Amino acid sequence: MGRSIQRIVLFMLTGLLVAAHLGCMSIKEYISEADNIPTSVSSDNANKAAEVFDADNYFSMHGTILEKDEVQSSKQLHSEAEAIVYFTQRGFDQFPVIYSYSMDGKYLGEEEASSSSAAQHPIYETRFISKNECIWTITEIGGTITALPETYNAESTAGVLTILSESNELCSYDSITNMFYKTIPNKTEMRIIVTPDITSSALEEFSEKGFDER
Amino acid sequence: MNKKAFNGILCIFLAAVLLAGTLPSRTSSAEAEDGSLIVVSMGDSYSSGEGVESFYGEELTPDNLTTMKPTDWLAHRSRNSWPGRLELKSLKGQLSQHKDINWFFVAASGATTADLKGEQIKTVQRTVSDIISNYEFHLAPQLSVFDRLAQKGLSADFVTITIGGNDAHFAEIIELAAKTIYYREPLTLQNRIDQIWNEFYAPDGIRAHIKQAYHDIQKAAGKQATIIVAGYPTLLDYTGRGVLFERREAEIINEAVKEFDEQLKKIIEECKAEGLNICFAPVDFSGHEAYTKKPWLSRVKFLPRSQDLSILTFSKYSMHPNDDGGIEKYKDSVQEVLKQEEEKLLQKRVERDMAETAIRPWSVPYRQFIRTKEYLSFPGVQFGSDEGCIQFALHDFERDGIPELLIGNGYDTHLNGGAYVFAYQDGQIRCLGDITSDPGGLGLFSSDDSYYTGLFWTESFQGSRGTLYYYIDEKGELARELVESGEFENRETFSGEYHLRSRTGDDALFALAREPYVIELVTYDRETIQRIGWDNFVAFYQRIWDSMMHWQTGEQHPGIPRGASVGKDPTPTPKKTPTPSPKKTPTPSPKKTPASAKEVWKRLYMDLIESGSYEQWLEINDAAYEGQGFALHDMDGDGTPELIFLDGGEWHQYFSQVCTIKNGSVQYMGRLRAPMGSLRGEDGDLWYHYYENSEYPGLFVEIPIAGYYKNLSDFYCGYFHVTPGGQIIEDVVEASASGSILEKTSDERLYRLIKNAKAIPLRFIELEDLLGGGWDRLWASWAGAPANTINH
Repeated sequence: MGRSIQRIVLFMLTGLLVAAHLGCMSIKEYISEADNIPTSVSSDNANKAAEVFDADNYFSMHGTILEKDEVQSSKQLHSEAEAIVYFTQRGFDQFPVIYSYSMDGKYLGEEEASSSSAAQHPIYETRFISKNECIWTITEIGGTITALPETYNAESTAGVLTILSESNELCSYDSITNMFYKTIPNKTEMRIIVTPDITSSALEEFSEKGFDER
Repeated sequence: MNKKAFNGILCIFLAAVLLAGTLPSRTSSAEAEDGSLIVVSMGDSYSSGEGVESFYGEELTPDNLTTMKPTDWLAHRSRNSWPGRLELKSLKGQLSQHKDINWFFVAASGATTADLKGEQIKTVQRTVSDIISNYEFHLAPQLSVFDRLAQKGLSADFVTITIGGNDAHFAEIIELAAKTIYYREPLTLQNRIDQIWNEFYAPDGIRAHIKQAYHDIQKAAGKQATIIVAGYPTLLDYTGRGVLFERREAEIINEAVKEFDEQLKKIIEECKAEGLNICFAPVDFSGHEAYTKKPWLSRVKFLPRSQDLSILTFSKYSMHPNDDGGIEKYKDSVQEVLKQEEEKLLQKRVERDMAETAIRPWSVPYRQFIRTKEYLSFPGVQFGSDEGCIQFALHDFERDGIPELLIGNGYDTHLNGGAYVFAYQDGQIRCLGDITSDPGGLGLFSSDDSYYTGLFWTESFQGSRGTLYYYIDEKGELARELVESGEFENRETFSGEYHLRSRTGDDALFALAREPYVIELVTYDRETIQRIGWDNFVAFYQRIWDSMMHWQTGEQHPGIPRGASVGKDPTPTPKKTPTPSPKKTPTPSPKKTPASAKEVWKRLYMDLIESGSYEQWLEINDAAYEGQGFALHDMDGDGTPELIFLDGGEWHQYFSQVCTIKNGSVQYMGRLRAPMGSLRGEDGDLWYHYYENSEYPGLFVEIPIAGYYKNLSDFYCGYFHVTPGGQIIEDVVEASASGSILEKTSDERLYRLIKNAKAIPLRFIELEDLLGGGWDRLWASWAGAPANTINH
């Protein structure tokens, strides 16, 4: 099979990768028999995110906080339509653009951005597969873009995560406070390879030549 | 010789036939032919052995997927799966060596709880001439395996399963962790997991589905089955090679999986408390998670492998137990529980056999004799090559409480080709002799006479008739005496004057043989004995003997109505052949509009009845032909009524057949036992009936007759319904005696329904009426409009 064809179809069938990986297709409609089986069980597990995370503490411990910015007043945000253009201009048009949060910090699950939507979201992401089948996740948070080489990291012996960024500064997102945190992460957190432009051609080159040679 | 005169001869032949109708079509404890245990392995990819090649059916994977459906391959059922490696003490080797005999493997990669009851869709992507094509296949609902077992007369002793991981989106979570950077989105993974927990605990959420799935399995597999649920291990370790998952991500995921496993344990405890026969086998991979130095789970595999169904996603092999320890650990974990449960079961069987032996010393030896097919190699006996033709029956020749076992020689159906008579004596089985056969054998009959307790063998061939009497002589051997032989003047039609050629000197025997034969010896093949269960096989004959005792003592038998004038003429009559109805030529409809669904099933049913082609199903079940009646009822609630038709015969209605419309044609579904109560016809006993607007769309039967259920009940209510696999099964709703409940459904709503709601009798329209133009009455009967019931 020609890889080019595979990639074309990948583009056309993007939903597959987004929603149905690793043997888990979407859940089927379940027809309950409505037997007399008690089903109401209380949960102690449903809101752990809110309980366990303190963003100030976390980013202070794992990096240096440069700036905090409320999402709803941020000027770095893209609408869905703008995000699609933003990624497309960089050559990332194989896969749909995905968002998972609303502007008030509510987690929505993965939703596909629409080229006709003016709605804004704090984070967008898409994927890229290079010619030599390296898989990348491209994320845009608060106006900063990073690229995560998944296949590389899966086999890496570096001990820390490697990511590509256009700057040493990273923007992170805390959904509890609904804030962007601009930070410089500790070196023990990740290895940031700074590259002037995160584009499909740049990622092709990294995929081809690797990181350690640079 | 002192023959006790019959007091109002009753053709108990009919009673025997009717008693046959009382045998359950399926028991919840049908054992394998050889008594060995049956295991069903179902569930998701953790059971199917995803990622551990090779897969069953792999070699069949065709280039042209449109013409072949290698189901095992589609489900990625591995030859190296842990269920296949399980062992039973009572079975030699691993279960995989007994696939489709003692081990039924229906687990499927990607399965959710919904796929136990519904079809699972599998899409195969393959490239042909540089074009990727999708082929869609449907895997049968996993629970339908129990219908298939039932058809073979089997039921599961153990069910192993892993299920729920796909409902809880395990794979999606792994993918999410792989593609997000915790430092940039520290809450995204936990947010998604929280979202899944909310889905899990929702009133009709994942937890409820898993619990319902366990109930569904128990219901489909039967009460005797022990369900062994294997847990899920912790998945990830961040310390090993690669940094795809960060420490915190691994911790979050492992914590979630542990909690999920804990919940499974809790659900199982709840199910146990609700009466399910279920237990949990925890699986611990600590120190061997994916990305450890010695992992028992495979890593994320980004590229599809050659056996992957989909070529456009990550390999489904990712994050599954591997063959470097994972599969073996799963096997060990479940094996431990299985071993304990098997020991319990075998002990129960020993106790059951001991109890049976105390009451009927001959029962277990006969059962083993049949199960092990010892008769085939018994000295001095010879059977036909088709083992399927061999039939079995019990008859107590000497009325000494120890029946003899008759085994047909397999040269003809029933015992018409001749039979060997075996006896259980002094702890051994010995052959007493054989009943030889000449052409035209009509079978074996016995009387309820207390002196002539042997069997009459009647032949009728080319206008001649002969009767032999078989008995056990003083030496304990099978002996025979010619009762009479003669021939009819018109030999072709068995009519005209009958000329007696020779006869026994025993007047009483001669006279008895000329009385209506009272009991036709009913025989069963091995498969049927398997299906109905040995206990029922024995109980059936026991009831006949008990009935005979009642007659002999002049008591009114509690279970079988007597006194009806249905004496059978001893003169053999040619078997009645149904008169074929003229085939109706379909008249082209002037309308151009497509036929409505109702018009379609009407036309199909009408064609079926008019052409007489429904008789193919009557023949299958060896039913009689006359007096047929037809009714409509939507048993599966799909909007199209099923056609229910009596096997026919004013007195022979011991089964009714059901067919339905599927894929534009009439298809056979199964049969219903007929209530004996209908034969009374005197006090308005309900026949098949149903409840309007009920959530239970099937048919009910109520039988207020003593001895109907396990020889004990004086009230019995059964519910016939359609399984997801389209099979008809009967559940006991209530069986009681003298106001005490012997057995009762665990479904309280169902029970309340029969107690409180108004039952509506199913209306049958006679064949004659239909062929005379009474179709509208049949259609109207389904709509609930008044219609004549069949006169019974």
